[in-house]
Amino acid sequence: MNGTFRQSMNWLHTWSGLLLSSLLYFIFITGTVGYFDKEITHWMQPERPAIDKKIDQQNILKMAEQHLNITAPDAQSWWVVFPIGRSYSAITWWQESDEQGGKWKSNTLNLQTGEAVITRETGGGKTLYAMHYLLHYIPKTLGYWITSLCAMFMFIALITGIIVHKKIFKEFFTFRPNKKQRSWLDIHNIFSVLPIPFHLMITYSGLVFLMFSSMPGVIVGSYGTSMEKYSGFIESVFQKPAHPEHNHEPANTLSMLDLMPEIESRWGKNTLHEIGLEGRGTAGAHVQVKHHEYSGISDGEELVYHGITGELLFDSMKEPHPQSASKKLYNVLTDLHEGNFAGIVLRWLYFISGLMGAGMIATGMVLWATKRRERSQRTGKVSTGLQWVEYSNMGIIVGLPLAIAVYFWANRIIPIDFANRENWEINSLFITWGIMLIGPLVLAKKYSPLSLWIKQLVLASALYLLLPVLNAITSDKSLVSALLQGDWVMAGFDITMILLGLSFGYAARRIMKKMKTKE
Amino acid sequence: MYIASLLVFMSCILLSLSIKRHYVSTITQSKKSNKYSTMLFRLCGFLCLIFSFILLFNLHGLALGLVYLAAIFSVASLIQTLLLSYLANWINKILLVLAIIITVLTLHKKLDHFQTLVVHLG
Repeated sequence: MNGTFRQSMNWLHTWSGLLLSSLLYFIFITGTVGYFDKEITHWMQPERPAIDKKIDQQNILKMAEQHLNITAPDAQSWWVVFPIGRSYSAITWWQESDEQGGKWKSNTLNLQTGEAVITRETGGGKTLYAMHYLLHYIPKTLGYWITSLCAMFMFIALITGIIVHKKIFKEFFTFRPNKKQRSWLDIHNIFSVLPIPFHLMITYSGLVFLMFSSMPGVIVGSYGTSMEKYSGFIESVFQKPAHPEHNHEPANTLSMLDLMPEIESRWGKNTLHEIGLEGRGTAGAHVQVKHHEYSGISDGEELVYHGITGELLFDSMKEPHPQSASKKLYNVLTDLHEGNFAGIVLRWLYFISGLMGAGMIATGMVLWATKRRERSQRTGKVSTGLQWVEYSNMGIIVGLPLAIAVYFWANRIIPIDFANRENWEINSLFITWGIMLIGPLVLAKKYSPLSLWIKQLVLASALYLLLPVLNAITSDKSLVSALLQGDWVMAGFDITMILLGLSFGYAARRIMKKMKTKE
Repeated sequence: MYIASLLVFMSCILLSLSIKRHYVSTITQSKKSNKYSTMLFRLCGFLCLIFSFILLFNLHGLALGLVYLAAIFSVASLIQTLLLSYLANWINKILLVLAIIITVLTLHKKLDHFQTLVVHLG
């Protein structure tokens, strides 16, 4: 790193962006897909009943309480999630008593019969989403540290990228196609500069999100190392709404249904996102209720009632938690990062911005290799290292989306009663990605790099295009029937897969044309 | 929401036309841009952006309004970049159509408000 300030920044931009580029690409792709985690899960569990948001919430709660009474009579807490907003099914959650192990369990309800639907075991969209901060096959804390490190590298790459981009405004809307390295630089700039507010927000908030894991020294310095003291810190930062003191004395608790008229008189009918009874059967019981609408970018209104008297203990709109400025900033950043408040339009905009982020990393990787390829062609020497980078770029950039398609295929192909099928869905993703990474290196002598790009793109295109066909064969929710039933989540997934397949196919066709022109 | 999104897209077109390279490639009759047209496009572009922000602020509040503005601007500018690269000749027509649609939608909204007012007064 020498020369002028801008040259130094350029060096830093290149290496901070490149060193962890494959991991950053993985984080961006899985994180972006995660914006539709619930929709993906809905598709991956076709046994779930068709979406019916018209059923009255009082009736749903009645059904849910009857179901919970039979399924989890000894549970210490009951929760019911209503089919509203982005919740596509009525779900009951319960926490077993401490004697039973205290585990959380859930069931999806069939609102026609009131019985639990037996759904296949799947990682769904949640596992894909969780991979963007936990990675996989490694301990949680290590995952946090690695993703924090990646976010830090990304943040440096973004800041230095802004510094080195001399004509940031002059070239704002500029893309010059068919100009080799120039075109790659243009597209890299487009993917970087146009959504720069998103990139800065998502990277910085990602760092803030994981700061308790990546900067534990600050907490240890103030609170000490014991787990008890760490819990004290967590309690003081993430204050819970007011609720009765913990009291394990046995007592008769209210039914959640008893509170519905009171809640509906405040919020109106069918406005609840979820309702939960904590500390069932004890004197410390309380009922927590959450409104389905967000307040700006923050969580919606929340109420807490006494579980025995039914007295209102807390209303988040009337008496919000006292918060320090830093806690408010933390909340704003994490809310922006998660985008839970986003409706369908904003969610798609988040998704597109995320894809542009992945595109920025991918084009950066290709640009680095293209620059060196052009330089080495001038000298007539192509190093093995450069060839390795070029082939691994292929496996990373196309291989990962292809592996995600295989994850969806695995969801439908692996038998429903297969042991550990959830894990095998994920294993199939990583096995495929591994093959896609090694494949080009093995086939390098037989095929040119361009034809290997084409092969991977065609394979990805075929896998995505055939997913709706596979869905139609293996479930009763084909694209046509979903459209007829008005199940836009199921239909939307299939249509998105077709569009992705077409995009990969188009990319393959463009490279084929390029190859023919070269010949 | 639609009007705000269209205004953001229009602001992208106008701001891109305030850049010499794009002005020359789009306004085919002229070989170079002049200072006044650059200023005018820039001013109109920023005005559209301000109007769209006001609309989004009214609809969603400050925080969510800003998020919408940034997100719509990112996607609209991507579309405008692709248009400039592949369909530069269409931009004049798109600008005209956008202006008409925004006017019609705004008038329609105004008419709705007017009718509500009449009903209310009646």
